[in-house]
Amino acid sequence: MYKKSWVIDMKKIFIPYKLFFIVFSFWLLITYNFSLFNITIGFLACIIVIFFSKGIIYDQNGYLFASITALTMLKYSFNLLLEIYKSSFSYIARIIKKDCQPLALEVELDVSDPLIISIISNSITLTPGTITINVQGNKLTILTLKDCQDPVTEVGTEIKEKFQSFFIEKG
Amino acid sequence: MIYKIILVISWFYISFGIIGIFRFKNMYSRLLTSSKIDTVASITLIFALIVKSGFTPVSIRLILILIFILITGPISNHVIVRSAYLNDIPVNQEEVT
Repeated sequence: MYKKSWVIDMKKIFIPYKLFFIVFSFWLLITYNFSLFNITIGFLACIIVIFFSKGIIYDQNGYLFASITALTMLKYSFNLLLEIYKSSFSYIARIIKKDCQPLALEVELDVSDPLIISIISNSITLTPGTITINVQGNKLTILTLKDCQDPVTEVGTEIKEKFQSFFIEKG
Repeated sequence: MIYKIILVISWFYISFGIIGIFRFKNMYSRLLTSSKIDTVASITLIFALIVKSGFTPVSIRLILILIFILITGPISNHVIVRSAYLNDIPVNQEEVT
């Protein structure tokens, strides 16, 4: 009886090898020191970090979010950088003209995966002229600068088109 | 030569960010402007350094720092704006300080 329950418990243990590999390679590349002492310290630090990220990134059943392929992330990063630079030019024009007012609006996303929602909200904050104030489920409260002539509804749809459509197309 | 041009572009972004902070009187507008310096100027600055260092271990580290900035950079601005919004500071209030 005891042995059976132990077997079931052992099955539930999830070891996040992928996460460990990413964190450890990050340590090695940032320190760029391949001495035994540095590798040992990095190994222990990574184990501590992974231990404390249980319940945030993974639980006993696996990772808490659906994985995104590296190619999708690479394409998205290029798209994001392009959007950042495009918005930065329009923002400079706004600074010079000074014909805008801050506005808080709510945008409801069509995606429900927490990783994609956090990536989208992070990207919105990275883009000059927009900051994500709050996230509740898939509803984002966004602070933006609106042109005095522009209708409010266009700002929300523009944000959705910029970031969300990319993930929906790529699955 | 190219890295010098990119560096000048990053200074251009920083200077316009500072001008924006003084030009806008609303707190939220100022925060939006300061976030521009955080992201665009720092990304451009790191690009310049990557171009300067070429294909070396330093550039790999710089790319990692860039990824780190892209992930963690927006958090500080988000926290400030969120606390202001949750403390009922009106979005359209003009503040002269």
